[in-house]
Amino acid sequence: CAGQPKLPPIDNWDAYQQQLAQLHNWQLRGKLGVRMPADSGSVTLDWEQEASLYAIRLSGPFGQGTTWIRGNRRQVQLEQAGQPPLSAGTPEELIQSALGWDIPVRDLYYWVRGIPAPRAPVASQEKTANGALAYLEQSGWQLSYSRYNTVGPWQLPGKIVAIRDPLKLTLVIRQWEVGDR
Amino acid sequence: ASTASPVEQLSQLLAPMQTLTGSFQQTMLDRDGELLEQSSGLFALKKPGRFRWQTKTPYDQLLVGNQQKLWLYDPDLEQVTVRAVDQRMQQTPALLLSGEVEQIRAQFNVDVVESGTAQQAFALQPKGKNNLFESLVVKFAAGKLSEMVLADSLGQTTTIRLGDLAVNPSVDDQQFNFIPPPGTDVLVDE
Repeated sequence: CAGQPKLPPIDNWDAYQQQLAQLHNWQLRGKLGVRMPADSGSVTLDWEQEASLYAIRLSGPFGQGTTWIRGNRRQVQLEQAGQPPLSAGTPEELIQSALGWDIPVRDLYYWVRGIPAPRAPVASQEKTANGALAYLEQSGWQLSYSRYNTVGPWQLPGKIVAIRDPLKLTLVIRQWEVGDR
Repeated sequence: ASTASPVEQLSQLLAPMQTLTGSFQQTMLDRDGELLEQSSGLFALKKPGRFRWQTKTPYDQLLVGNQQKLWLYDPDLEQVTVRAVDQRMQQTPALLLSGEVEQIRAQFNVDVVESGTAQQAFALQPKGKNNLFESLVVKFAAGKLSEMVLADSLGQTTTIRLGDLAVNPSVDDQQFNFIPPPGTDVLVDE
């Protein structure tokens, strides 16, 4: 649509995908909408990744109910205002027990950058005119990508809708930072 | 200092305000004082129990509450979450300001932290456990509400500075009702 910055086409998808998967220092800021039968909501989302360390912050209006999820490959800890801290082996377990949400954090680690998770098979995918992912089906999730922006050599999505019935996640990313800081 | 109790002093300052409109600047700092997030927008409050909190930058978000329902509308997510106004939500700062004195007394311990002629400040501790915030400081400048500071159990502080205040303008009740635009995902949360 009009106004979209001219994105350089991705000619070698496999090489592009592998290089982007190796990127370990990035940060995104935006919003996460969650639709679930029992507990829907929307939070502001701040995800900072440095090598294998990650820090994810979710906050409600007035900064209330802020939840921090910090961890590395082996263990992860969740802190939530007004609650004792929790720790577990995977971020998915923690978020499920603390917030009741099924958020596939370790897959989103790749999906938010507009690439499939490397180790799981890709059920199907479609590309944009510029060779970026428009649609991806993987690990039971269906993801639709839009509002791509150029960030350094990468095309990174501004909006992602991920569905695995009855769960729907909507991610709107208003700011990307890539590379070492 | 006057002999009135802190709650009475606070309510004396809140009492003349039937409606209040203005702008807000919200700043969130983590326990080390690092900036987490800044946002700004417009608000409207109307007693009893009605408020409208419109965040404009850096994202769009509208929080509307009356005495039955609370709507959280995110145009960028094309989603609105609708919740019943429950007891816990009574602790939302916006509801506090448009709440009645008895509600405040029932839910908070109130202390005076500053009581000069030009400035007054009160610290409110929610009664009960696992609250969304541990303390809320409400400040008045020249008798007008000027700032609220929330602190949670993680040491995070959210400072909400108010500006362009209009006290008791007429505010249409429709402001405190939300009609989702067509195509919006309406998510009702019991």
